Amino acid sequence: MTTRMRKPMAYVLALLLAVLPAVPARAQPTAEESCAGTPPTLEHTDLSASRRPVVLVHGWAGERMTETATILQEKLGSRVSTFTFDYGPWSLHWASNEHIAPCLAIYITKVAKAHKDVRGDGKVVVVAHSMGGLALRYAMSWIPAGTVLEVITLGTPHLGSPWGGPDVAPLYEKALTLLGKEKPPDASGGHCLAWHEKGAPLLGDCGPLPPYLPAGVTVTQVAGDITVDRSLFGFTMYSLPLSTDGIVPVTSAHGYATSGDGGASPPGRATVRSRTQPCRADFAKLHETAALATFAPTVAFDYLTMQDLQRGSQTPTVMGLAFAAMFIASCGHKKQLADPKTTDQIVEVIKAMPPPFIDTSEVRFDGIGEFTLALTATDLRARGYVNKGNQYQGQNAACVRYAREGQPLGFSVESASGRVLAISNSAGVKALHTQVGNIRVNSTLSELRTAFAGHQIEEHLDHDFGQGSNGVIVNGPNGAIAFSLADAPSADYVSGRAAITYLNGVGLRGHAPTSAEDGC
Amino acid sequence: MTRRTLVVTFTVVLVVIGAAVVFLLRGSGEVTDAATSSSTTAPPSTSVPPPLTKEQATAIAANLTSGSEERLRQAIAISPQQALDPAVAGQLASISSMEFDIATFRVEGDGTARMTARTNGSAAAVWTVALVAVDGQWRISWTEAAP
Repeated sequence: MTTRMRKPMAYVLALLLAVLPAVPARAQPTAEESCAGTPPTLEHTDLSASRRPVVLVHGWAGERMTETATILQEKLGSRVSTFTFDYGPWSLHWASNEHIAPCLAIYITKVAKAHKDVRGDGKVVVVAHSMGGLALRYAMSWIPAGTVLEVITLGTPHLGSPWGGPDVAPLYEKALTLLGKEKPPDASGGHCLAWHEKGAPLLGDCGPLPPYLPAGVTVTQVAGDITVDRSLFGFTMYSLPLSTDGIVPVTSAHGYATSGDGGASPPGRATVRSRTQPCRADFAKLHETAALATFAPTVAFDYLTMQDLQRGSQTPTVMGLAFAAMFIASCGHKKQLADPKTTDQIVEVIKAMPPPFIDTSEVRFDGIGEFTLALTATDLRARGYVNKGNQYQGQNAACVRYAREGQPLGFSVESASGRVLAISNSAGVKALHTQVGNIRVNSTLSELRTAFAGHQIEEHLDHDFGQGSNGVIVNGPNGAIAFSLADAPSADYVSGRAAITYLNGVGLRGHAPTSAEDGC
Repeated sequence: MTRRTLVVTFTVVLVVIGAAVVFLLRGSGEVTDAATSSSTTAPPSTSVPPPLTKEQATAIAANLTSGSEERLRQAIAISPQQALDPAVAGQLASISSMEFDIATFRVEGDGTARMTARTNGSAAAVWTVALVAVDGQWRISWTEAAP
């Protein structure tokens, strides 16, 4: 470039630099805009406020993690509700693809909302296998802060895999497209899973590295670690630690902290913990599988593999051995999904978490705590509540009372329909407080009137609230809340100084429990 | 065998062969270096020797149960650099009798061989024994309790 040309170029550059900051930054498209095809839907739900939602995300070339979900559900019981995100048809695509990360973000957000809808705290645990862990990292930018509480990665190749890259994995991908998987672009999952050290960029067409997770998230990275035992007549001659689950080396499965931009997780981000699940594979079984797979003459396989393993080199024979081990060893990359010990690692992490926060004292128009007026007699029986009948007609009455030993709330149920008409504070719990305005025992009538301004307030101030008492019923859009008032001079009711002595409960309109009626 | 199983098996074989070819043909990088360095201790000749004789089988059994690591190494196919568990020679010596059934000896298509063995003492069982040819001699590669 000549000096004469350099000067105008410098002006152009200066102009560009001056203009660029003035151009507004393009906002990131929403997950809905980015998720290609039909947004994922939730498949079930036994979700309740006290169950922690656990979203399972499969990996490259994988399928829905139903087996792991079943195991977790069996081991954790009513502690969790599992949801399995499936991007099976596109599972050969890279984790950041429009069919994967943004759709996963939508899915997790929907699960969180479903939990909030049943009065849960809306916080989610994610268990991600293999590339699923990287998909989650890309998805997090679309997920509202505070939604994901804990991430458990299982064999996630944070630093890639020796099998990834342009050479081997695409061959496998081509074969899988014959089985119905969507044909991946050039930057396929297998291609982008190439080994990359400590902050080095992904292959050219794979986009940015998976972002680090934000503060408030705990990442537990679980790695399978196979050791091969060679024995003669039942006696161990030696053991060879492979330091891999057959596909993902332990260093990669534990490599989260150095896997993003700059090669080090910035301070103030997610807390990281590492766990290793060791397992052993018998050389005799492994040997045949590996020899078959590689067609390597057995003796050459023995000699070369032993020497390479001792050097820590990822040679074809070592990779063949590791690959074969994956099918045999319980902590191998595929088998770990149903391995009792590996799934126990997940269970331990979830058990150590605090249970979902439920404000059992919150009174709303449609319920108290986790109980809503939408419940039925069947739901109550499932929770251990029994039909106590009513005082005059017993259990065959048109409206009966359901209660459970040691539980403070009682339910008035219409026998014919089984619907709950009212939830009453039978035990006189003083900690109850309204969601609107935080009205509680000792709040004044004036405070109640202010809190519920705009709602229809029925004031029973003429000793007509039952048993000669006074009280108030506030009617809301989907139910009514009843309060008892202290006996006071009429001037105190007028001025609003009279105090609330008791929150009676909630009921459908016309069924709010008073001092005389339980809502029937 | 379903179409899916066939395709997956074919793919696994294809992938591993591909991996081997790719890594062996690469002109640079750690893998090639390692592969080259592997050849510094060249694997022994793998030409298939004649079937095992009764005398050879007896000699192998004697070496295995000798209690000597040096003699044990003469009976098994193992890299010279691979250390053995110090206890294994003594443990094998605790086998009171080891008999190879020569009648069951057969050479497999890949140049390896199989036969059965019966042991008494601390490891009493019937075993499948795999042998490989090392410099014209049959040596034991692995053993597995017979089903």
